[in-house]
Amino acid sequence: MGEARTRKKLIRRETHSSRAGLSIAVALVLLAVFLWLGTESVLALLGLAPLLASPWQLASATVTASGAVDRGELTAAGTAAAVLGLTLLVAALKGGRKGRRGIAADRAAVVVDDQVIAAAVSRQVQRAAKLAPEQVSTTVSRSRVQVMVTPTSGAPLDRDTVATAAATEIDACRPVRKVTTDVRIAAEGALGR
Amino acid sequence: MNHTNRALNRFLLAATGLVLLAAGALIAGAGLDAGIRGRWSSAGTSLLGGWRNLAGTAPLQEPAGSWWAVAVPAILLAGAAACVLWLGRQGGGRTSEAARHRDAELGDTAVDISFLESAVDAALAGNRAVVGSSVTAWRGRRGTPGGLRLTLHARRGASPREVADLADELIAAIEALLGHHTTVLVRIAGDTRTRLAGAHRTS
Repeated sequence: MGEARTRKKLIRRETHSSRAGLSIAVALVLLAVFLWLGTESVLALLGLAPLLASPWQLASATVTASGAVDRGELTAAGTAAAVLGLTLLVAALKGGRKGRRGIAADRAAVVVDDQVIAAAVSRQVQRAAKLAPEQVSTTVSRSRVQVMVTPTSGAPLDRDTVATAAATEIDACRPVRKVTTDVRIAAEGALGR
Repeated sequence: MNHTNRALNRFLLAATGLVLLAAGALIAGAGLDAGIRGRWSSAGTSLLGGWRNLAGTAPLQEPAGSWWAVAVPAILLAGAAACVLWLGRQGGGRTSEAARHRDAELGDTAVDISFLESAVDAALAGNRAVVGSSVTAWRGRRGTPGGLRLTLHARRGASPREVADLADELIAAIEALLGHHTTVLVRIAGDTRTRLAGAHRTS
């Protein structure tokens, strides 16, 4: 079905980075290098004085660099370049997931920020267990929702109540990708109010 | 959805990364190993010599002296042009036209995005779960249809399901207004605006 495919594609694009920022940065640096070298080569062609160094000077400096430059500096410069290259490679190959996810809906492709889900889960848990807002914190990661609860000192806290409240809210969201819920109750209680 | 070519971005980033990685490894290797240093300078010297000999194979009148000498700036400028094209492929595709109805006799009717934006604003007035909204539109490309992007800023603690159902209702109303089915992407966001709006009050 075309509609389902379109939605899937829209959700994929909305939840993953386009790498536009990094691409712009790399393209600008490459552009500057190409323009500079191009200018130098045209100046050399016309027999004019170079801006910084003529292409021939650059080429011979590169050839002699292995002997002329300090070995430590050579190693450091090479390592820096390799690390930068590796960073670009990783950025190109990794998913680049943003903190958002697709949820089921009737008429549209719907994407929700993870922090919205986390806030909603916190609120449901807080209401179900009758806690103050600062006693519940929720972290939503790729496939896991972690609820951290600090119980009120002296008041017993039912783990099931917390887990059920969290699971109910998440199930209601109908996330496209299944997530597991994990409840942690702090050993130390907080002073009640 | 903008028209950024994501596959191209990733391919070019990977290519640049590989070149940098290889060059870096070579330079670092030269710093560490005398054998690589020796091979570097001998290979470099022979390359420079080869370039000198090459100049004679395609002679050209002065001041250039050789076609090869002209090829260098040409290639570099082509590289610069490729970078500009790459930059040009980022983003794009946004339009202020939400829909257009073509009629050969009566002429075209276009619906501006600001019309939908104020309609959504009006529909959401007084809503507890949503603190703000925006509507944008993108043009279709290569046979794929364009569409609308509806961003709803959820109040902190609001249920995403409640907001998603609200979005479904809004879209039904928008489709009724436009008179046809539209591709819609809904983003339920929580950001500074949400934080400033404060949490739900529970008694």
